[in-house]
Amino acid sequence: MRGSVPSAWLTGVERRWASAVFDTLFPGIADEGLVSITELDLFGFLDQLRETVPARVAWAVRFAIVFVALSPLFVLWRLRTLASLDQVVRERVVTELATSRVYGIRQLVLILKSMGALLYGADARVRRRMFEGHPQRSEDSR
Amino acid sequence: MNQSFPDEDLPEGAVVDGMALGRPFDDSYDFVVVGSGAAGAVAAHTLAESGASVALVEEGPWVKTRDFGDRVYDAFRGMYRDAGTQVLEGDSYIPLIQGACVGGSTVMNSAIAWRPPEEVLVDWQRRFGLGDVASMKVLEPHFDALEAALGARGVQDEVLGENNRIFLEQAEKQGISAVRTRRYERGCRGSGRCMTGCPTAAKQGMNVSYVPWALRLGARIFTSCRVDRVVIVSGRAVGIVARAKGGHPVHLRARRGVLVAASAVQTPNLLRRSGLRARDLGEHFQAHPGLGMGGVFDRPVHMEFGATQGADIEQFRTSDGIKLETISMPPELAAVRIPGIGRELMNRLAVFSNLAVWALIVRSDSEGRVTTGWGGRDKVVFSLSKRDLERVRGGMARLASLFFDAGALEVWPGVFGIPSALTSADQVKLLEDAPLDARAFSFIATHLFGTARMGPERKGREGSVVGLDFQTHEAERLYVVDSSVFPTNLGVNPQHTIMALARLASVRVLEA
Ligand SMILES: Cc1cc2nc3c(=O)[nH]c(=O)nc-3n(C[C@H](O)[C@H](O)[C@H](O)COP(=O)(O)OP(=O)(O)OC[C@H]3O[C@@H](n4cnc5c(N)ncnc54)[C@H](O)[C@@H]3O)c2cc1C
Ligand code: SF4
Repeated sequence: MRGSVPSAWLTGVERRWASAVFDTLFPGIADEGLVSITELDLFGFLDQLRETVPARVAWAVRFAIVFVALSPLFVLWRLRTLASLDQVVRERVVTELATSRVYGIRQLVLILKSMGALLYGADARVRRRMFEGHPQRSEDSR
Repeated sequence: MNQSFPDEDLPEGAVVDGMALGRPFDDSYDFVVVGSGAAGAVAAHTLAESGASVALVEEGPWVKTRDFGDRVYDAFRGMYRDAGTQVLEGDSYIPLIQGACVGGSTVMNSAIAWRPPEEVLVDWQRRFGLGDVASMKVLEPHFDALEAALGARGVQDEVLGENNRIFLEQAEKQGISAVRTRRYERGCRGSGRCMTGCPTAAKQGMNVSYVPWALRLGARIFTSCRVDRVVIVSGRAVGIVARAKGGHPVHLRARRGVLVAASAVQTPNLLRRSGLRARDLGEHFQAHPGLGMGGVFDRPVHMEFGATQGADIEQFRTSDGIKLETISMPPELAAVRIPGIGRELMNRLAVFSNLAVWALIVRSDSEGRVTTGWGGRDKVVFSLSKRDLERVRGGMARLASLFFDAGALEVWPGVFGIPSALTSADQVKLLEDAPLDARAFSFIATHLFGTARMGPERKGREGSVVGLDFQTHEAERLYVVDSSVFPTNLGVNPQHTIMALARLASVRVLEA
């Protein structure tokens, strides 16, 4: 069942977009000890994801990245990509999508959030922060 | 300390790893069992105990206790079907979670053990004609044996954890009868890691219980071998054809029968690939769609410590069609369910320690269908009815009230159209009026039923695929022993009923 996507997985442009999209979702907060997802091995994760999930899911992730990256075109009606906006505006745009009345659009954001969460929540630094104060698990989190 | 686990030191030759298989394989046994989850493992063990020769064939690999980590993505990749990306397709997309490894879904489940409600069995007898198969008297010895073998017991004090404790305490204050969850475990340490595999083999999943026990009785397991079809000659099942992950074909002859236990999703398509054409095959799919809700307290809850699921309320099952439970979510899954994106999400992740997650499962009356989708994949079409959604929002309102009464500062319901954070009990009303639209909720499905249901008649209004002897109406010596045969869902967690019926089925197959 696990098909593979042809070799042109994410192009250079798509990688830049992916970076902006996932950074918008998981930007981190330095004061809280939460790193940005871009400090993790995002591209290694995405490449591995392509090998792991069924082809249709990999394509859905790719489509979602492109869709969200280009969404300022129809959310702000400006000829910009998400990558070219500052964090506050990016978040406004993606929040619009995440709360869209159109179910399919919400789902695209959810797919990315789900995939990003698998990477983000697994990071040792993030876990240390999340488990903070628990004697067993904060030490446990490798 | 070098602790050894039950999935180690297995008898020589008992495990044939399809990944490493260097040649086509051909062999004969009395019985071939397809699938090593709750149903298949128990069936294989019961058959092997009688002295019969048994081959157990499992599509997924055997991930050993020693190799379990605590990262969800690694578990998804190694042990979950389609890496955890299956969905029910209908009015909305509902994640469908199943194991695909030795032990099946019992490797990542919470090991909750509930006997089936009496009225469900009565319904199976009256409406579907299941006779003594659905008699508690007949099933009781099987439940007793399973409970003794797997150490079913209520969660112990030292591993209760705050998430479970607050739930129990609050229910008691409100006069609601909540119980400590009975689970199959021996020495649970409360790591809250059931979803990524129990790192100490305390949880009595099939991978550390009935599968190794069957192998020690002489059974053999073929891992990483997907059964393509059951071979049926002159109306009688005589073996299976599988493909090992390494590419080689595996032909196993079955002198006395083939028992299919590939789960309510895979079983109907396997039967179709084997040539069965019953009208009801793949129909009547049912589930217990579930959803979780977060509550933030002013003090640490540390959901990461405690039995993964340690408390439940069954009281509203018949009146409201719901069962309430606690569930400790690993950070990766919590991060999906925590509302918001960007800094809003980050701020909420920062209070993860204070988060409790409680959940509900609904005894849905909707029926769906399993078909073969594009590329041969298993496609499940399922939508919740309006009545189901009414039950869900009622259940969510109850959970939110419990949270607020327990002192939660915020409740995160995760319902589209409702504020992402409720901050007072007055807002619970919003949940009661939530949209009756499945797309507004974040469901998940892990309890699966129907699709090759049992009954005395092949045709008719309550048509069936499998007879009361667990044998398909279409092919002799082809038995179905998983929850595909259930005429309805249960309203409680199904593993116990699945195992008891699989045990009963195997005893009857031996007697046949
Ligand atoms: C996360 C999670 C938590 C749960 N928690 C609980 C709980 O606490 N209590 C409870 O009662 N229930 C729980 N459940 C449900 C319970 O685990 C399942 O109902 C039960 O395991 C189903 O048993 P089964 O044998 O039908 O299927 P499974 O246990 O899923 O096993 C089926 C096996 O068949 C294999 N297979 C499928 N097709 C083929 C093929 N063609 N060839 C070879 N092998 C094949 C699969 O790979 C799989 O290993 C949970 C489920 C999940 C996913
Ligand atoms: S909660 Fe208990 S049973 Fe579950 S993984 Fe941890 S130790 Fe094992």
